[in-house]
Amino acid sequence: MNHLSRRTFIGGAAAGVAAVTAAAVPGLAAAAPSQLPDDDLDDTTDLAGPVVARVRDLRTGEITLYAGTEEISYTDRTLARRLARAAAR
Amino acid sequence: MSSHREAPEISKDPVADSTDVYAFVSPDRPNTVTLITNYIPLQGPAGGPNFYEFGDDVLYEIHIDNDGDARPDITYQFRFTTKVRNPNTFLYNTGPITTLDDADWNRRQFYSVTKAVEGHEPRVLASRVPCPPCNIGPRSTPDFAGLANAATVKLPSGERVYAGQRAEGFYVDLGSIFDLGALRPFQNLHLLPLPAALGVNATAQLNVHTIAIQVPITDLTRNGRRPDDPADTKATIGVYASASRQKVLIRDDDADRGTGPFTQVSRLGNPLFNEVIVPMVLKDRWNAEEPADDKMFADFVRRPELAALLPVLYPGVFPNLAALDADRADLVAVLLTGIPAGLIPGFQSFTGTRLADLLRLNVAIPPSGSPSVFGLLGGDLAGFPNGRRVFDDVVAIELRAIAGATYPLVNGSFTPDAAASAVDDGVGPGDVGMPYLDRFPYLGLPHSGFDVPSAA
Repeated sequence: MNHLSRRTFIGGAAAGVAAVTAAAVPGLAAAAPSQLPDDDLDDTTDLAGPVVARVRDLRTGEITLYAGTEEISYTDRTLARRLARAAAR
Repeated sequence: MSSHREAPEISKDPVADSTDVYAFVSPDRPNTVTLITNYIPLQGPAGGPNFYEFGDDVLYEIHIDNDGDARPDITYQFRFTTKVRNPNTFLYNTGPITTLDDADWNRRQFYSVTKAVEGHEPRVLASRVPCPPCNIGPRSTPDFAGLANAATVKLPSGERVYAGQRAEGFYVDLGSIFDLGALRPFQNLHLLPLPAALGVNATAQLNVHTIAIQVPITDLTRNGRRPDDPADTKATIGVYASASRQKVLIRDDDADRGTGPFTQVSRLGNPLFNEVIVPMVLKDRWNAEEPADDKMFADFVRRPELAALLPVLYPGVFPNLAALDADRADLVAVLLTGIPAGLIPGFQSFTGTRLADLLRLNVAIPPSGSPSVFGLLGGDLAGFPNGRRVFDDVVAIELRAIAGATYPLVNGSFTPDAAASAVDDGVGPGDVGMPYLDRFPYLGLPHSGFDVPSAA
């Protein structure tokens, strides 16, 4: 997990990096991450709190997920582009 | 101010803004150390109807380094939860609050205490510990002292804790100091002179929110012992406090929700470090950094801006300081490494060469029977910068140190200016509005909103 200072975070957001609340994006729940087969999705999973996805780099598909008290680095170019498209609507 | 509103961004987030940190061997229980960290600066006691409280969304921590690497070996964490009894009233209380579970007290706050020791799973020491209410006035809080006493709790694990409102114990002539560095008793010598005058304590009628914990010394030292030799290299601990918020905040219709890891937004070790040493554009970054990384700020200690300003603001008063063109190894020792053995007879607080702003306390030094508010500068080895007691005059001590009073520790050929041992903002512990206590949590009872401000 990358250590990111609060200022880096705010600076990145201000620079126009797309940050969206996954649960708030229409259709996202049905959009499976590209490298995961559909049968890996567990429809019974409950979110204990909000999950926020921040697209750091659209080109590489670098996404940071914020969930609970964790920050998870994740790479998925297809999902990153879907999020960006959804955010641009 | 010690660290009140000391950085542009944290000044807009008072519940996470650490104002003062104290660490001292408890005078009434010398086998313990008392650790105090304050938040929510400059509270006007009458600030209702939504009286002051800790942030439920803030992680408050007091860290102790006991092996010299400037990283926490022991951390005490405090998390708060607010409970509202009656959702149908705008009132904080609907009658006198006479007990901590009084049905008339509508908005109560509780907290948990967790101890995290490096290499071990964090352990919850207590949960649902009650805070006292704010001190509102004779109708709402007729026996505030009783409520505060009830909220002073000894935990099964041996620590004493208190979290809630107290009187501000830090004294400073804020109005004068930030008017171009004026010190009223000496302002006749200022570049823009006015007649000399008595100092004014700007915090005399204000409150803060205090988190205090009293811990056996044997819980804090590296080897689990209570040292009695000040020269013992394991006798010094480094202390700092921090406040952290989750990285992401979502403002939903019904509530705000945080997610992601906690990230530090405020920290404090030595008083006035961020305030006076660090340039404005770096102050919020300093708050977000760990002490172990303070090397990046060391040049501001070696060549402090204030040392260059004093001779300009007070022409002719500091000629020796003005002529001093050298790194301030004395300030580096006081603030960043601890004072090595051999400089002050019977004392050392050296924790190694790693540069870190920590409040260093040599726990082998017993409490003083006749303390000096000037601490080490006053010949009192139990006072700041050997830890910090609630009454220590840290403004005068640091002013004098920066003015050159401590430079002879590292260069015996330097003669401090006469003013270096006299410079002061003219306020002292006698100017604090509520008296300090001689027992835990040592800070005075908070001013009540009914009485302060007064009609007189």
